[in-house]
Amino acid sequence: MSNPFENDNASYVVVRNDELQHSLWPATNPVPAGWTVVHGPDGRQACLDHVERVWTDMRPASLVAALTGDAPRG
Amino acid sequence: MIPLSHAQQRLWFHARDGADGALYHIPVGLRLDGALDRPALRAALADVSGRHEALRTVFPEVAGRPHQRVLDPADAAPVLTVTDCPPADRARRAEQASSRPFDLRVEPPLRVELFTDGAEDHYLLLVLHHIAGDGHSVNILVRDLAAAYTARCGGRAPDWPELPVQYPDYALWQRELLGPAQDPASLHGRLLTHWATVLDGLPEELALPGARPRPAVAGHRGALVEARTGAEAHAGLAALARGARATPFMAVQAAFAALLTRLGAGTDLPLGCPVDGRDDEALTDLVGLFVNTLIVRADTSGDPTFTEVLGRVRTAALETYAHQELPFESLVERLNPARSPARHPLFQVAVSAQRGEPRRPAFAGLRAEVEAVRTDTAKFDLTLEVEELHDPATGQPLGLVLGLEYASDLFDGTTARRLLDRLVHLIDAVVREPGVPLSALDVLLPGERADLLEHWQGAPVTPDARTVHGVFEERACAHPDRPAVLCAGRETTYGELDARAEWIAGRLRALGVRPGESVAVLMDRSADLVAACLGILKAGGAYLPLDARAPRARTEAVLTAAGAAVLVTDAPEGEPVPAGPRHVLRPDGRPAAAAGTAGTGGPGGHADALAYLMYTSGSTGTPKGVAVSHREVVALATDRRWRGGAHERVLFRSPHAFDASTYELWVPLLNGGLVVVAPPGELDVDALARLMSEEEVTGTFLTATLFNVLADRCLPALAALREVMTGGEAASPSMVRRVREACPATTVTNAYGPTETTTFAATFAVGPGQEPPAGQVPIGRPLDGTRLYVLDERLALVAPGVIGELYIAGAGLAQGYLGRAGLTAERFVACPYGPQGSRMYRTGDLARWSADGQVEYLGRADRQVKIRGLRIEPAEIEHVLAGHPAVGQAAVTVVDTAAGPALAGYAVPAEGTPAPDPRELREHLRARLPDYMVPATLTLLDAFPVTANGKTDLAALPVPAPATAGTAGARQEPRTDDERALCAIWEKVLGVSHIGVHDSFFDLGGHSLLATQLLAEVRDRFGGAIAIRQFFTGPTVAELAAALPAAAAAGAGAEDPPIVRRARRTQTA
Repeated sequence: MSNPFENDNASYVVVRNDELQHSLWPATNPVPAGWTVVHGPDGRQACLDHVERVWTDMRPASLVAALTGDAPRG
Repeated sequence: MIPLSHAQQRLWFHARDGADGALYHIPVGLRLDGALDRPALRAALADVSGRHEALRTVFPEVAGRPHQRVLDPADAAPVLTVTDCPPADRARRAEQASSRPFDLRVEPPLRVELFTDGAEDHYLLLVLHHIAGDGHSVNILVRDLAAAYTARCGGRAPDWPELPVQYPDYALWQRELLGPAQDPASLHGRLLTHWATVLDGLPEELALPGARPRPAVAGHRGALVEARTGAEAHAGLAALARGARATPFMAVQAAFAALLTRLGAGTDLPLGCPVDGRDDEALTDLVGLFVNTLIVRADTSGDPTFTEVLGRVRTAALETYAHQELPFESLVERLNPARSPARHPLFQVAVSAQRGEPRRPAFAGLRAEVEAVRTDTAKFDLTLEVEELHDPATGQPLGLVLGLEYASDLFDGTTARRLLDRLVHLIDAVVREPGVPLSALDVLLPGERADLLEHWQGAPVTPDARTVHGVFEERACAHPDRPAVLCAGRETTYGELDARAEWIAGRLRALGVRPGESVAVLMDRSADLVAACLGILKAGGAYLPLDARAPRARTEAVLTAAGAAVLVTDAPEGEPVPAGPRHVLRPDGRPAAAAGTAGTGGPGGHADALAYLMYTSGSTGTPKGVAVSHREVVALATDRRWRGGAHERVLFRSPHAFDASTYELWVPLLNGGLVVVAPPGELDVDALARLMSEEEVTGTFLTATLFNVLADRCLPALAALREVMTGGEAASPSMVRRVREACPATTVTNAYGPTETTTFAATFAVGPGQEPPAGQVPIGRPLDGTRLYVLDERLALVAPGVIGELYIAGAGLAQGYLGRAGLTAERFVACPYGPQGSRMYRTGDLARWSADGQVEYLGRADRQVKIRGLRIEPAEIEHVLAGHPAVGQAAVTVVDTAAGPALAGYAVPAEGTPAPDPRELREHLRARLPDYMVPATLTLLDAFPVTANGKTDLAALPVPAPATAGTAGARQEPRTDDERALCAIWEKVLGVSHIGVHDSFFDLGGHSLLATQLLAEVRDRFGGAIAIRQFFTGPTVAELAAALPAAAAAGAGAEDPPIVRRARRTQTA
């Protein structure tokens, strides 16, 4: 069985949710609810390169918001 | 002398071996209500048998060859056996009578029995041997019998036109028409060339959905389930067929092929297809065996639409019909597939068209009705029988009657029923949408989607936004004096632990640790290690446990990747520690306050902040840091399955850097239980058992390897536990059973979960009084709030019983791999089945849902291998090998040999049992697995090499020694007089020289008829009769020699027909 995320010859997109988490996604599959295409369609590696470039703070957005809203603990 | 037709010859071979029981009997029942004229019936039977020579043909052997001998009508009138019995007894008696074997040498192939209650209620049973007729022959027989009876009741002989030809004419004609198979210019030779091309590269065996492992010898027991489509679906399918210039039957073939593909049987599907063989008008009204079985090779590759599949099936079917004269047996001999008594050669699934025949033949003065009689047999794994119903007045489609005959060895009624229901469902779907790709067709039955998405999933949970240390602090407040940690005989209370952790947190804050930063921990197992983890959490950090055994370079790489701010260690001052962190903290001071938590700032932090980082080996060699938040640890610890007291005293034994420690620490501590700390370093098994007993541990997690060792050697230690969990790799069914039996009060739980889903994602518990499952141990159902999906290549839900890849979503999902955005984005992917914007983790594991909603783990997706074109999952073979009572652990890998990749099996003997004989293990495997899954080599080891986290290290298994290479090895010369004599017989029969005693007869060009000849020679020489089926299971000189003494002993008093020498096969007409 070949996995739909492991095909170097297939077309992919990069999708992002409200937490600003990113996911590789097969371009031929419908995008699940709550996700938006932010890159592609493109090759697999190009999509992953894009993710590496833009997803630099991997914490969920709601956590970042909560932390910046709070006074730092210490 | 009249030779047999080709098809007859095949059946004669089967009948002669006597192993197939009623497989080739065709029984038909006739209910006759009214005043039955028995003399007229007897006369009518004589008329029918007189009319059709096939019904009075016997098959004696002369000079070793069977031939057709047509008896004189006067000598062959069927005997009408009359039995008085109440109607309730009929079914049983009819079944018995249907199964009674025929002696085709002397007995005409039609038997007739009349069951009567003496009054007006009669039941006439006709049993026809397949050698004398086919399905259509039965219709002719009943029709002619009715006509003859009606005539005889009127005092006349039946007035029917003379038949133009008889069956022996056909047999001679067929041989002349075909000519010799060896002659490439003959029709026979040309057909063989055609079929060899068409069937090139055919898969040897289809993996059928929901099928049990195939027994070594097919039992041919079978049963039937039936279903009917609606008139609309029938009409729709017929319209699709018309549009493709195909028949409705071809459309059903295409639909069945599509279904099998969707259920995991692959995209190259050889479907057996009976062809009528009555092309010549002269044969229309003749009883006889004309049907032939050929193959429609359905190609469903490339995710075609149903319309495309129908077009392909039509082309294949038309080609089949155009080349239908080739006898199936010739085809088998030519293609010479790896023969196995376990399966039908060349195809295992058939689709056959049934003709709708009148159910009410006209017997004068009687109300007659034809009733099907089943013999509870199955020729193939699955046979789909298709009958079209039409309105007799208008010709409108009324529905398709679909019967699915299944081999009881492989399927149970529920599985077969579900398969057939799925077909009806799929027919509805393709009629609605013939243009969608197969992969987009819905093959789930109504209700199954809800099972897969809701009923079988983890119970919904309300969000819990507490932090790990927050929950702990609640506990410490509630019962500060309760013991929290027991280490080396010394107890630390919740209050003390909290204070100690608070002190460490203060030190960390003082060192400038900021929320969200990671703090590395390099400590031996101790109470202070527990306090350090808690303290790091209290300071807002994430703990990063380091593996003390790891090479320093790897540890430093991990520290750099994680950006650890501080290293907490118990290494004495002056001892070198890994470089990287800004500070080193040695928490050897005493806490400032002895107890109390109220004044220390209280719980802070966010549930989505990271609680820990755990580095696991990556396939690329770079370790990857799994980042787990507080929320997921709290979700694990608050799962309802820990309630009930089994996890009150939990052993902290796993290396801290592995994720089992998450369970070992936080399940007891967040539930008010006790962590029993095992002494530092590696623990030997006896020390571990002693510790568990002495400290009254109630619950523990053991890797499969360790579980097996304890199950072998330390059962009492396990018996004292309330629950023992095992996991990390597939659980050994025999070990689970052993513990279940020997430890009646202990719950044995198979636990599954990658580090990426916070230790456990699913568990399967076998509680006291419960029977462990017969086969492999499932991984069960997801934890509360967790969801498991088994998906196909298009991320669609696969039906229960079908293998797919396992995805995990919901509670427990890690945030990702720290600092590895790309890797995270390809493993933690958007989830189409969960709440909006949720993710799922792609495990890379193969799994399937069982019919009752338990997930079964089937190994790594990337371990699947192909050998001789067959997909093989080594884990399946490991399960079977581990099922042998003398095997403790099993492993199967693929090794490269000169002949291509081959399977290598490894076993560690179970403790306390004698080491198994590899030959015996091989027998065990052969009895349970298809030939192609039996490893070429079996190697016994004292222990398996293990990886750092205790899993079997497959890559480190030794290359199998050529000396143990068995069948794959060099030729073995005969070693005894018997073997030498047998080799001489083989050389003579096969025309091959230098036979090795382990060479397979069938690999050397042997086939079933040659095998008959071989066994006849063996009987002449040794006086013992070996059954052909027995020979199939051991087709080597060595195995034959081993079977001889028993055969000779049995042969003395046996009444078996003599085995007669036979020529190669062909006869001239």
